[in-house]
Amino acid sequence: MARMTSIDPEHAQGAADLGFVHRALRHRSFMIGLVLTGTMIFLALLSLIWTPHSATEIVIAQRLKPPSLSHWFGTDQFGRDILSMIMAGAQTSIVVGLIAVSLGAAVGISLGLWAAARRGWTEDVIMRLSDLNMAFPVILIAILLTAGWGPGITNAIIALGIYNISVFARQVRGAGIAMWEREFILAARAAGKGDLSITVAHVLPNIVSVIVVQATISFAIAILAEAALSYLGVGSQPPNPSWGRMLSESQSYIFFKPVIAVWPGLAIVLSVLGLNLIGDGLRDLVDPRLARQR
Amino acid sequence: MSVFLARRFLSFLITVSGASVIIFLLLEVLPGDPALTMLGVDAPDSAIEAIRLELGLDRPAFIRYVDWIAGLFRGEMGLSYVYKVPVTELIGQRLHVTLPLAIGAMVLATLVSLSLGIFAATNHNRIGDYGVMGFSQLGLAIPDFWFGILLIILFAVVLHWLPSGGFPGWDEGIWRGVRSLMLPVFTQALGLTAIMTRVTRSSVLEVAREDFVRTARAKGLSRRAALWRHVLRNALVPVLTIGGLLVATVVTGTLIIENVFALPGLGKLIFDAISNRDLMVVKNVVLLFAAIVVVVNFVVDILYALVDPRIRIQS
Repeated sequence: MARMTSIDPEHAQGAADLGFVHRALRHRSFMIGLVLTGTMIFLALLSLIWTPHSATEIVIAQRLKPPSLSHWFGTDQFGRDILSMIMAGAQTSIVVGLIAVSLGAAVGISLGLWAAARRGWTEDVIMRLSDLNMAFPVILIAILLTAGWGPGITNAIIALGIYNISVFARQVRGAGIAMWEREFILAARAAGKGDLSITVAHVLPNIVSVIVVQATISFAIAILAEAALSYLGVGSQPPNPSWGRMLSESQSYIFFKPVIAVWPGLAIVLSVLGLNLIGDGLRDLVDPRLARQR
Repeated sequence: MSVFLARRFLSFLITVSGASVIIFLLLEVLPGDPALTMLGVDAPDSAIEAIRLELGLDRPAFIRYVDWIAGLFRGEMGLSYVYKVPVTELIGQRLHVTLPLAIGAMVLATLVSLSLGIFAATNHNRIGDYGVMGFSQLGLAIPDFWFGILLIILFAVVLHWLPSGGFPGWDEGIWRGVRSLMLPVFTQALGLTAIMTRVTRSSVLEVAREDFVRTARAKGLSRRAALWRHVLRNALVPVLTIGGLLVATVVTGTLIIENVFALPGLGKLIFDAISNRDLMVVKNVVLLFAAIVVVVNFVVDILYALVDPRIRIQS
């Protein structure tokens, strides 16, 4: 017992972190996810300073060219370089995903924590609002915004952000309620701490892993949803490159140039797969009991 | 149980009413004058005035909302501004495509995912399990509209087995209608199958570890008999719940699939209505979809409570 109390807490935390990193490095699907997502982020960042060709310039003389040394993935019906469009399209996916998930997470986490701390009618009201939110899947919110204000990437971000509010609120409320029933929270209450300070100092830090896993999965869903909304014409608008719109535009040409519909789809699949693998991996790493069940 | 039912029903009514208010506010109040939204800012004043009178947009928003809801109770959704026919009639025509698509996808996904999930669980940590989980992971990452395009390329462009899109109508023969819906149903079923396979597999694995299953095996029941008599009966509860919740996903998913295959269903109707700024159609179809989502969640809650008494006691 004396030996246990003599352990430096910071050192113990450092050892735990190192153990997590070692386990993460050995987790094969987590590492595959990391590589896929890292590649997507790298391509998006690279496209800010360099792309093989312009992602928006129309060169009719170069239309529908097959893959070559000059155009690795070929060109589309307007002669634009498909690789450059995919690189620039990654920017759109990441920006939409980041803003939408951050928006949903900020509001949803606050509401979820509040519901878990106060319970009673506060929780009831927040959960009924969340029910209402759930009645509107992303696509319905986007349709409403587009019908009222016209299509645009802002609508896609707002639609995804609103949708994510209830996702995070429900997840955080559940995890928060479980935390409020733990002994150390009871001890903090006995020490005279208020709801807000307990939430910030004890509840939130203990449910960070739940939030991180949810954020990763929500990011993957946001990429899929942004592509779907752009495909339907209610998301990103020309000339801003978007994977979903590339697919929609390529559909008219699939009878004689099917390959141009392959690249943007692959980009979406690999990005979503990467994030899903990271999400699953993180869940296994923070809760090894789940890993055994899976 | 009656208290639980009453509470859930009240919550259901509040949610549907709230949804109708949000739809009305977002379409007819917040963007400004609905007549301007429908005709555009460049429209002549006389045309804007005419549409205001025709659709009763000159009345206060609250009165228009009450009229809309009262109409819904009478089974009326007003006239489409573009087609000049009742919106209920338009929705009725389009359901002939959307409903078979949604039901077909749900049935196919349920059959395939139950088989795959049980197969994966009974072959846990073997090559068959890894194969099914790999398929499921991929199915979650593939956008359904891209999968639809790939199916069109393979079965319509390369093999010429099935039509690439469109719907001839059920009057042209059931087989022609079914052929037109085959690729859309496969497309829609992919994502659902991926999710339900995962849930089935983990649910079967979890129940198989329970003490009562071990007892059944200790009493001499074979693995197969224990699986069919004890494990599956209990493991299917969460699968049915997720399946119920996925109905909402299927219904909204048809909006995308119908656009991929140019099917004249509700999805096509709503996107045409957005292009034509036919607010009456958008308003009613969105409410219909939101109501379906809420009704499905309500029914799933009730079924879940019937199956698992702990839920209604907690509530």
